[in-house]
Amino acid sequence: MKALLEFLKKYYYWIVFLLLESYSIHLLVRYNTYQGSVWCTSANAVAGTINGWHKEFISYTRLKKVNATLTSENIFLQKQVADLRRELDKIQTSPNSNDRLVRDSLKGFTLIPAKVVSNSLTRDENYIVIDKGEKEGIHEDMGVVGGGGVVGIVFMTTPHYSLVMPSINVKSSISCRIRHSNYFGYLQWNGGSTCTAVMNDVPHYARVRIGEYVETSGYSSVFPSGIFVGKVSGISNSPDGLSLQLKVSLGTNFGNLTDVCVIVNDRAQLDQLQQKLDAFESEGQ
Amino acid sequence: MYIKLFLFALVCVAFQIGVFNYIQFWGYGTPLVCILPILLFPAGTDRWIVLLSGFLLGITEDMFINTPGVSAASFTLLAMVQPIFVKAFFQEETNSNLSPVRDWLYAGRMGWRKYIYYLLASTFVVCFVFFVLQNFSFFNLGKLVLNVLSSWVMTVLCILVIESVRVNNKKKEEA
Repeated sequence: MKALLEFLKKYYYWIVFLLLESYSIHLLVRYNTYQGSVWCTSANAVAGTINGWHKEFISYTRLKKVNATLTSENIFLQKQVADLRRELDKIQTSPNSNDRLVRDSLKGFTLIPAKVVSNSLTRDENYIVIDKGEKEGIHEDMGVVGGGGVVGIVFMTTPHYSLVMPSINVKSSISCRIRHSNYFGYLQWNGGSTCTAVMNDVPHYARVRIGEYVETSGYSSVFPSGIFVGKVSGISNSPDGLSLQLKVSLGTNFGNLTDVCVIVNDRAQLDQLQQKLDAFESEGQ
Repeated sequence: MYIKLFLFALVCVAFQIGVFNYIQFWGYGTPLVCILPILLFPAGTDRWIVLLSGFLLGITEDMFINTPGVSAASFTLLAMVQPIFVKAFFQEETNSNLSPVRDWLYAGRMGWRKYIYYLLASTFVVCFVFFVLQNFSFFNLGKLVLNVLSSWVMTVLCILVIESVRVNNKKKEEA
C-alpha cells in the first residue's frame, strides 16, 4: 500500500495528464462533426475487427464440441444412408415392385388365382400346367399373369386343370407396347434364356431407350392394356431389316413361378357378338 | 506571481483570438502564440500546475475558434513535455536552486541559442499535434506537412519577437 502511494505520489501527473487528455479527445470527437465521423468510422472498423477476432477465437474454442456434434451427425447420416440403400436394394430387387405394377394395371378385372402344377423351361415349346380349369371358369385364350407380370395365355383347358402357353414358348406372340411412347410390337421368344424375349415389329423411327418398360398393348381381348411385361435391355435391327427388334428382360421369373392369376375376359360376349355378326352376314347373302 | 502569469496568458489569448488567428501563412499556417505562457514555467514547477494551465489555455482558445478539444489536447501534451524539454535544454537551470515561482524562463537568462532550441522543439510538438488533430487524417499528407511547417515557422518567429521585447523590458527594468 505504501509502495502504491509512493508510486502515485511520484507519477500522479500521468493520471492528471491522461484525464485532461481524455477529456480533450472526448470534446474533440463529441463536438467536431468531421472528427466525430472519422472517429466513429475508425472505431467501428476497429470494433468490427476486434469482434471478428473474438468470434474466430470463440469458434476455435468451440471446435471440439462442433467436431463431436459433426461426428455423431455423420454417424447418424451414414446409418441412414445404409438403411436407405438397403431399402432401395430391396425395392429394386424385390418382385414386389412388379407385383405392384401388375396389381395396379389389373384393377377392375376379375382374377382367378391358381397354382402352378408343372412347368418346363428347357424346351422350345414350354408349357405350364395350373390347378384351375373350366369348373372355375377358365377358358382358352385367357391371359395369365404372375407377380412379375405377363406369364402367358391359356392354351387348353380341362375341368380342373389348364395348360398355359407361356411367353417363353416359340409359338407365343403377345401384343405389347413401349410405355409412354406407345410404339407397339409383338413379344416372341426365340429359345435360349428364359429371362429374355424379343419384341418385334417396332418401327425404325421409334425412339426407344434401354431401360424403358414394355407392357401389354390391350389390342387383343386376352390382356388388358398396361400389364408389365419387362424392360428393354437391347436394341437391334430385325433379321429382315424392316423394323427394330428389342431385347426384353422379362419381368416374370419362370424358374420359380408358383402362383399365377388368370384374367377373366369378356370372351363370351365377344363370341356372341361374332356369332351375331356371322348370322347377319349370312342373312344378307 | 501566478497572477502575473495569468494576466499574461489572458493577453496572449486575446492577441491570439484578435490578431494571430487572422494571420494565414499562404493559407496554411497560423502562429500559435498563446502557448507562450506554458513555455515560461521554470524547472521544478509542480507538474499538475503546468498541465492544468495548458489545458485551461487550450480550452479557452477552443471556445473562441470553435474547435473543441483540438487546442486543449495539443496544449496539454505540450504541458506534459515542457518540463522534459526544460530539463534537456537548460541543465544549469534544473540544477540551480532558483525558486520556480520567481524565475520565469526567458531568453535573456537562458541564452538565446538554447532558448531557440527549446522553442523549436516545443513549438514543433504543439504544431504537429494541433494540426494532426485538426485534420484528423493522414490522407492529405502534403497539406498536413504544409500546415505544420508553416505554423511552426510562424509561431517561432512571433514568439521570438515577443521574447525580444520581454528581454528588452527586463533589461530596462534592471537598468
